[in-house]
Amino acid sequence: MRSRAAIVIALVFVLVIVVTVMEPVVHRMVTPPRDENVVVVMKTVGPHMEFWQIVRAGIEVAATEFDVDPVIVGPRWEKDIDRQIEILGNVIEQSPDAILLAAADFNRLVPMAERAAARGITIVTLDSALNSDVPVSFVATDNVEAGIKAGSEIDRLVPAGKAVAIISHIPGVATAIDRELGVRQALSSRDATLVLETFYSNNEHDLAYEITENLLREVPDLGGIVALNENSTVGAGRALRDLDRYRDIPLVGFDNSREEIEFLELGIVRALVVQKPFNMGYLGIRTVVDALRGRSVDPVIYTDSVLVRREDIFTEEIQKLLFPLIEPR
Amino acid sequence: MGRLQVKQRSRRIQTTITFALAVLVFVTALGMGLLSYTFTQQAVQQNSREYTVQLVSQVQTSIDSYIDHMENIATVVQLNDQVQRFFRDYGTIEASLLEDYRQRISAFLDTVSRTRGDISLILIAGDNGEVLTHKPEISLNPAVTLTDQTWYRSARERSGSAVVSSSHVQNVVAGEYRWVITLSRTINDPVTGEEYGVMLVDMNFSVISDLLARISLGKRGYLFIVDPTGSIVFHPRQELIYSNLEQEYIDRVLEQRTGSFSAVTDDRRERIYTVSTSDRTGWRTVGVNYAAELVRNRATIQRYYLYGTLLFMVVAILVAVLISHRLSRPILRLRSSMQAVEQGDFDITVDISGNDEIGDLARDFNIMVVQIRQLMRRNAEEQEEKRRSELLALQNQITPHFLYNTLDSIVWMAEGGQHRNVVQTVASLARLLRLSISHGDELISIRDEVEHITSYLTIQKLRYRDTLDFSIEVDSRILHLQVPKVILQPLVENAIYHGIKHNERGGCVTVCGRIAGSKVILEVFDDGTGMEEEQMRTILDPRSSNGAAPGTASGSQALRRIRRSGEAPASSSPHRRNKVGVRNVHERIRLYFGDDYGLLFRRNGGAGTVVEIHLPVVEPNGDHPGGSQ
Repeated sequence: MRSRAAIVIALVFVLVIVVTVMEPVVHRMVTPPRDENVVVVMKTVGPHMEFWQIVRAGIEVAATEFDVDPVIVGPRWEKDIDRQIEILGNVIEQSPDAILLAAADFNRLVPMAERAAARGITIVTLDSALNSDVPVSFVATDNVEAGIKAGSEIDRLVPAGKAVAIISHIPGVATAIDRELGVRQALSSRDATLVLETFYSNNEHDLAYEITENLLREVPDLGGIVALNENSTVGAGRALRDLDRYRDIPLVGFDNSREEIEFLELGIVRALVVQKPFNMGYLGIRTVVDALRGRSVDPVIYTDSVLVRREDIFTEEIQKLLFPLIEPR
Repeated sequence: MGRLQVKQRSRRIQTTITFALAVLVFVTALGMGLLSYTFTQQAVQQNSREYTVQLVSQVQTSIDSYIDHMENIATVVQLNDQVQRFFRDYGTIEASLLEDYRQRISAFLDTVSRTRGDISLILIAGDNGEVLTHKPEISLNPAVTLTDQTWYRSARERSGSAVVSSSHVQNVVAGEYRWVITLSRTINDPVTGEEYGVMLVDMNFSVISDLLARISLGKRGYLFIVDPTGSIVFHPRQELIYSNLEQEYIDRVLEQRTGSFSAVTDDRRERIYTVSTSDRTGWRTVGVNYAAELVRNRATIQRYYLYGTLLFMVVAILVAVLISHRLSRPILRLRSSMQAVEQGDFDITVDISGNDEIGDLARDFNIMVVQIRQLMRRNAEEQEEKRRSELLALQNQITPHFLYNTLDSIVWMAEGGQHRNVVQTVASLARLLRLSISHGDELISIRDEVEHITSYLTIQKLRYRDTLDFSIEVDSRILHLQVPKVILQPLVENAIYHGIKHNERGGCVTVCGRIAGSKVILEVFDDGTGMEEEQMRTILDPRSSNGAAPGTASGSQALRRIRRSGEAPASSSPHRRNKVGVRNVHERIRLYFGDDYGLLFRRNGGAGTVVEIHLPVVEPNGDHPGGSQ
C-alpha cells in the first residue's frame, strides 16, 4: 500500500514535469503555427519606383493584419530580369512556405517558379502574370478593364473621323498586351482604319516623345493618343506640351507620376488611368495567407483601376490614390 | 453468486467516493479557473481600455495644440500693422514703396513660419490682387485659381473666424503636392471689420500622420481621425476603405462625441472603438482595438489557466482515488474477514488500527469473533463432556465385574438348590440388562428407572443375603416423569459400598421419590456408617485430589484410556470407580438442566447418608430447556 501511494505520487510528479516540458509542444499542436515563412520577390525594391513602394505599403498593412512577417526582396532595377531570376533561386534555397512573385518576365522566370512549386512552395503572382500554371493565384490590376477605361475616354474625346494612336511600352509584356486589348475593344465601334497600329516606346520617355513628334508630323488626321504606361505618357505629354498641341490632341495615359499629375492639372493629359498598388500588395499577401491556411483562393484576383480627370484630382478618394505617400521618401 | 454481488457492491463504494470527489473537484476547479480567468481578463481589458482612452485624448490634445498654433499665427498676421496698412492704404501707397512692403511682409511671414518647423506655407490672397507668401521665390501653380479653392471659399463664408480643412493635397505652389492641414481666415480691418482678403496657413500633415503612425494599439490596433463631415483626416488603411476591402464604422463614430463602442466586422473580429472629439476642430480621434488583442497575451493567460486547472484536476482526482482507496480498503478487509468467519474460520483477527468508525467496527468485530470462539469452544467442551458422561453411564450400568459376581452368585445359589432365588436373580438381571440396553433415549421414565434400580437391588440383596435390605417408596404421581437414565444406580452402589458393605449387621437402602414444589426429588437413604464431612464436601468437587479428578483434561485422558484398553478401567478400585460414578450423575444432571439441579449429600439423622437428586418436572414429550441442548 505504501509503495502504491509512492508510485501515485511519483506519477503526479512525472506528470507535472511532463506537462511543464511539453507545454510549448502541446501549445503548438493545439494552436496552428502562425510563423509562415513568406517571401515577396518584387520587380524592384529601388526607392525610385513609387508604384512598388505603395505595393510594399499594402503588403506591410496586410502582413500586420494577417499576422505574417514577409521578407521583401527584389532587384534594384525593374529591367534586371537576370538578377530577379538569381534572387528567386536564392529564395527557393531557403525553402519558404510561399512566394509572392511579381515576375519581371512572362517566360523567363517560369523554370525557377516551377522548381519552387516542385519543392512544395506555394506561389502567387503579383502584378504581372507568368506563363505557367504553377501559381495558385494571380493578383493584378485588371489591365483589360483598365484599357477599356482609357479607350472609352479617348473615344469620348476624339471626334469621329479622327485617328487614334496607341503608344505601348514593351511588346510581349502582359500589361502592354492586356491594356492594348482593352483600348482596342473600347474603340471597336470606330472605323478600324482610324485606329493606328501600336507603337512601342520601349519604356523610355525619349522614344515616346519621338513617336509623338512623328505622329503629329505624319498623321494629319490624328485625333488623340493613348499611352499605355507612365514613361510613354510622360514622353507623349512632353511632346504635346513642347509642340503646343495638347489643346487639339487629347492624351489619355496610365499611372500617376508627379509629372503626369502636373500635366493633368494643366490639361496636357486629359485623363489618367490609375491602378491601386496598395490594394494589390494587400490582396497579394491576403491571397498567400489564404492559400497557406487552406482556404480556397480564386485563380485570378483583380484590383480595380480608376480613370482620373482634372476635376477629380483633389477629391478625397482620388488625392489619396494619386498622392499616396504623404512625403516623398 | 451472492458473494459476487457483495464484491461488486463494495467496489462501488470506492467508485462512488472517487466519482463524487472527482466531480466535486472538477466542478470546483473549472468554476474557479473560469472565474479567475474572467476576472483577470476583465482587469486586463479594463486597463487596455483606459490606456486607449488616455492615448486617444492625448493625441487629440496635441493635434489641437498644432491647430491652436496655426490659429495664433493667423491672428498674429491678421493683426500685424504692416499687413493691415498694406491693404488699408493700398491705393495710396506709392508704387515704389509697394515692393518694399511686399518684401517686409514676406520677411515677417517667414519669421512667423519659423516659430514652428512644420509650417509649410503662409499665403495671403488679397482682394487687391496681391498674393503674398512667406517665401517670395515661390511660384504659384498656373493651373490654380485661388478664389476657387475650398479653403478660400470657406474662409469667405465664415468671415473673421478661422476655418480648418481636413487633410488634403496642397497644389497652390507650382511643382509641389504636399499633404497639409490648412487653416484659413479672412483678413479684416480690426476697426471697421472690412475684409481685405484671405490668408492660409499650411501645416505639414506628416506631423500628425507620423504621430499617429508611431502609436500602436496592440499588434493590429490603430488610430484614425475623421472630420465632422465624415471625411477621413487620417486613416492608415484609407485605400482599403475606399475600395471596400475593409469596413470602417465612420457613421457610428460620428454619432458620438466621446466614449466607446464595439463592432463586429465581416470577418467576425470584434473591434473596440474609442472616440474623443476635439472642441477645437470637431475632429474625432478614434482608437481602434481588436478585442482579441485587448488582453495582450490572452493566449498565454488562457493556456496557463487551462493547464493549471487541468493539472490541479489531475492531482485532485489522483488524491480522490487515494482517499477513496484508503477509505474502502479497511471495509473490504473487514468484509473478507467476515466472509472467513462465515466459512467457519474463527481464528481470525482484523488488523485495522485507527480511531475512526471503521477502526471501532474492526475492534468490535474482533471482540465478537473472540466471544464466538469462546462460545464455540465451550459448546464443544460441553458436547464432549456429555458424550463422555454417556459412555461412563453406560459403563457404570453393568460392569463385567458386577456381571461376574452376579453370575457367581447364581451358580452358588444353584448349587445350593435355591431355585427360587436363582429364578429371581436371573429375572432381575434380565430386566436390568433390558433396561440398560433397550433404551437409546437419554431420558427415561421414573417408572423404568425405579424398575431398573429395583432389579439391581434385588440382585444385590441376593448377593449380600440378609445383610442388605431395601425399600422403594416412590410417589406414584411422578412415575411417568422423565429423568436421565441410570442416575440412581451409582448412588445406590455408593450407599451399599459406604453404608452396608462394611457393616457387619447389615443395613437398609431406601429409595424415595416425591415432588417438592417445581422439583422432583429422588432420595437414596442408607443407615450405614455415613460419610465423613470431608468426603461429602469433596465427592462432587471435580478438583478433588482424592481420586480421579473428572476435570476436562484428566477426564479426556480417562476417556482415551478407556478407548485404548477397550474395556472398563477394571484396574481401578471399585471405590474410585464409584466416586466417579456419583460425580458423573451430578454433572450429567447439571449439563442437562443447569446449575439449579444436581446432587445434594446430607447426613441421615444420627447414622447414614442421604443423597438427594434434584430434578425438574419433565413430562413425557414435554419440552424442557435442558432437553433441547
